Amino acid sequence: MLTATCHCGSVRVEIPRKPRRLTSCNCSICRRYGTLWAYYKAADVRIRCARGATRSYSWGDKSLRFVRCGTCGCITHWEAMHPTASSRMGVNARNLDAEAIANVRVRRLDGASTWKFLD
Amino acid sequence: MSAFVASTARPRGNSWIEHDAAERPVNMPEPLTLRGRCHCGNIAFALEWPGGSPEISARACGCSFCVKHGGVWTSNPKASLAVTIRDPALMSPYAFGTQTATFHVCARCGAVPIVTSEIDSHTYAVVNVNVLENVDPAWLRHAPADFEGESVESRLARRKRNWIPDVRVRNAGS
Repeated sequence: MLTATCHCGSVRVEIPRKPRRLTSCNCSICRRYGTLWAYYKAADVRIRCARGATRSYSWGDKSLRFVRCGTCGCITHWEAMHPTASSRMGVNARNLDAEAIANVRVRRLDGASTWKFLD
Repeated sequence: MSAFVASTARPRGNSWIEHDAAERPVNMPEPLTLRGRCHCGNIAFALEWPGGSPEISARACGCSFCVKHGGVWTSNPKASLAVTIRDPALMSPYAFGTQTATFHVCARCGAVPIVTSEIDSHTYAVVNVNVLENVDPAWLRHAPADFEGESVESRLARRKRNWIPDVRVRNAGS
């Protein structure tokens, strides 16, 4: 298990294993957040924080919400607005120790336009 | 609340663009206006970059906060920054370490468009390259930056040299 922690330590995201691949997306929200996404089954991820410690933001078709720490603003993950048993989750790997992702391939997703990988 | 957020006074003179046009000598190259905003638009800015060929530094800071935020910053000591805030109540400031820089997180969407530093009662700023809307990627000069271990005195002196010294904040809701 690995833990991704926001800057102030209020929110911890536990993931079952090191990501095999990371996604850097250029869509209007991801590029602003500067996120690197690692994807997991939502059921395999645990969010550890006090009640009320997070804030979320949703836009467009509002099928997802982006969750962040309410104190330091670090984006911790995205999750389905209406989760099902097979829902996936995007965990922001920027909050992992740098060593944990040092050799993981980053793919660039053209979320701004074609939704295809650019590399 | 920091002076940055509290500063809702009207900009000096007319709008900052008119102000510049009136004072710029005719033979000086047109400045470039870089526009940026958080995702929801609560925090927006116009960064007037000095004229000539635009070479825009894009510093990927290696500090603990910027790494987690994927922060890439730019500034120019000859630039002017006009910030427009729709709802000051939706500004969430965050500081850490030396407490000499304030990261302005939008409390609605969570983007961090601007960092300010109050030095000798003067506001200096850097802006987040990731939130720019009209930048040509070819203009960007990407480089890592690491200020770990720098003394507070050196840090503030560096910001006075390199950060944007002309920062005006307008509260669009007032």
